[in-house]
Amino acid sequence: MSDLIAQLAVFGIVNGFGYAIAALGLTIIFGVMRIVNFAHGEFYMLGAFVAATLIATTGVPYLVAIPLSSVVVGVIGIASERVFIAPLHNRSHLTLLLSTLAISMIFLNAAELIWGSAPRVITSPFEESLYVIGPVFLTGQRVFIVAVGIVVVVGLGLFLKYSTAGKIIRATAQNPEGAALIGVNIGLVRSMTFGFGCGLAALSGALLAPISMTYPVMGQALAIKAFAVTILGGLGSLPGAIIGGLTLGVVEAIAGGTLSTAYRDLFSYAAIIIVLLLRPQGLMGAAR
Amino acid sequence: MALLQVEDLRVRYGEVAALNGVSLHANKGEFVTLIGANGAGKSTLLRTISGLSRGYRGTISYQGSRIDRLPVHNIVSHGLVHVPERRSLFPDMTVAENLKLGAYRLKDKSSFPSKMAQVLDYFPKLEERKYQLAGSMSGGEQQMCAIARGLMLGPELLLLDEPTLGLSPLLVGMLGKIMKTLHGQGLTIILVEQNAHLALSLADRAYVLERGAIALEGTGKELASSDSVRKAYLGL
Ligand SMILES: Nc1ncnc2c1ncn2[C@@H]1O[C@H](COP(=O)(O)OP(=O)(O)OP(=O)(O)O)[C@@H](O)[C@H]1O
Ligand SMILES: [Mg+2]
Repeated sequence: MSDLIAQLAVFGIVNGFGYAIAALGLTIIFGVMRIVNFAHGEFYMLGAFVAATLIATTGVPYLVAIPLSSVVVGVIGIASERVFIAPLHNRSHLTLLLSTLAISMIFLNAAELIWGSAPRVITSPFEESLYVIGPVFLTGQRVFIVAVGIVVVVGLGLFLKYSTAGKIIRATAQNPEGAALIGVNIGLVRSMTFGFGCGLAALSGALLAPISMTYPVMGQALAIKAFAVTILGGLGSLPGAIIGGLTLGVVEAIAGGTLSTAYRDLFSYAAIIIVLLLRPQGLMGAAR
Repeated sequence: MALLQVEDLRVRYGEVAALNGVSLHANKGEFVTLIGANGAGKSTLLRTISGLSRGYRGTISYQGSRIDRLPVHNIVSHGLVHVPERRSLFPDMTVAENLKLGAYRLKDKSSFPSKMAQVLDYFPKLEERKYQLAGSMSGGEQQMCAIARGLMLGPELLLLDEPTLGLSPLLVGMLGKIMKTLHGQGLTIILVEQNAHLALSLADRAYVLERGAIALEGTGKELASSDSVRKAYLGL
């Protein structure tokens, strides 16, 4: 039994890194733009499909397809912000929310038109290797996801803390008017941040694709999870997104494996409701 | 030609008119102050000059070219720096980081260390507080930090909105001296002040703003001796 739990917990951590990467994207977008990106799941989905298409049409290896797909989707994110969000930026939050919902529907339907609704499989070279750590079995792909997750988390932290671009992003999040007054083009920062957040969602999608299925509505469940993670961790908190992602991954894996897989997704909703009831600022967040 | 020329500027917030055709100017090297009651439109005027608000009529020219349709960051990069009345610092960053970001648009990066030394010399308090988070400082300290950050860019024209608000009399005196020094070095300043004594004593020229329009204009001395100003703003 404890072997099973260990196995499930490790699988949960792997998924959790995937959720955390996507949730970091959602969090950084929220921090700078004060909007919840309802299209986040679709950018996640696009990450998987663009990677699959790159592999199929150009024959690039999976390892190259991942960053390439993240960049392509990031650029799509920037374009979406310019067209659907920037012109509305001084409107109400609800208007912006609806606009991201529109982006979500556009990409969902476009994906069905382009790629069809049948699931497809992305194969990763890492799937062929198997690691055994005590009672736990892991494919190379899962190890790879964790490794990329750690690199992203550490890299993003260093980028935001020490680079000039990172400081400009934080400054804009903390005080947009103050940022404009020191000469920051905050419209540009918004677009780039949105694209960057979407690129993180895409990275998550391309990473998780080989251990799940790729199909147009795949982003919807992920979006709910990413929302749950950001609420768990405290909206706008980056450490919260990481801890929230790992927590949700582990809890749902253990519950899904020991109770019933039918309950898996239930936990995202339950987490949202419980945290909002008991600790609206999130596990890590301070009250804003 | 004036460094800054505002002509018939009109601004409204929804249905509320805030400026009803304001014209004013500041010559290069001049110290201009603006006094007026609460809600007269002083902050709105500065915000519209720096691009944070938009007028629906009128023009703003700086160094001979129109800036009234330029985005804020563009106006800043021409050396027009606005230190607004509300807190404009980055609260979760240190004083040093705030000051460093103030020089973000500085064209000559090599002058950064001397700029930094200069503002820390003006505001020694900030030297002590260098590694403290800006948001955790007192209101007065934050005010000083905001002005210091504005100076980091090496502005040509400085718009100051009630910089003495919430400062102790000692600090008000100190800030007055600093503004005088900056003016002496050739900086053009437009100062909005509730403290009319201070404002009129510093000013080369001053304007009185009433309900969104210029009511009086003159040298600091002229306005300080005008009956209506003495009654309404100096409490004499
Ligand atoms: N964002 C806003 N929305 C609506 N009305 C506004 C806004 N900002 C200012 N006003 C209105 O515009 C008018 C001018 O305001 P402004 O802040 O420019 O005055 P002020 O002279 O700076 O006053 P104070 O001395 O109190 O700072 C006021 O009637 C104010 O209520
Ligand atoms: Mg004001």
